[in-house]
Amino acid sequence: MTQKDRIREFIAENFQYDITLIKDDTPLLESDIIDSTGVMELVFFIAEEFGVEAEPEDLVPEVFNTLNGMERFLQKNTA
Amino acid sequence: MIVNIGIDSADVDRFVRLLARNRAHLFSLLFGEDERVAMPTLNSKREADYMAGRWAAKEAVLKALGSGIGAITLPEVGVFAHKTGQPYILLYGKALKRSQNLNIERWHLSITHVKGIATAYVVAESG
Repeated sequence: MTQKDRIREFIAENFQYDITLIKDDTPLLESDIIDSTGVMELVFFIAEEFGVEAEPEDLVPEVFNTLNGMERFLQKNTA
Repeated sequence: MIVNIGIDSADVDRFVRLLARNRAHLFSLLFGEDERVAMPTLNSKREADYMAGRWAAKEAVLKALGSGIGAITLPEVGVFAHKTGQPYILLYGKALKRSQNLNIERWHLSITHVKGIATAYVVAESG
């Protein structure tokens, strides 16, 4: 399972959303799949699952609004 | 003159869970150094109430500034309390700059907790 698939699975479970509708580039905030507190829950999941702790400056839509953004964030911080 | 208003609510139970998962990480994401120093000692239930209230206040300020998380970081919106308990806002960095660009001179903040929901309301005023 890829990092994106693991995050997709978490989002579907935690926010009770149809996993087939969560595409790699689906805007999670604008689509009302997650809310702003949900961003924090995603941040904590990524820290626990992949060992990468986000800083306040990382809490930007470019990172946490899509699966692609989170994958780029993980690649950048685990390289 | 009122420049803008902002309102936000937060579910306290979600902050109970976030605190249980990684309290230190949550503090580092939400609070600046001054806020951490000013935070009172609280039991775990009151701490979640406190965190949810602070979160709602910071989000309400971001809304009043016409911003979301990202353009401004959460520690750049400081939420403090007078000795009477009345909360107030101090802005730093990009939040302060945006506030100045909007000619905001005063902030008014109220936070309330009802049945596990923390709600904050802010008014930004000029002149």
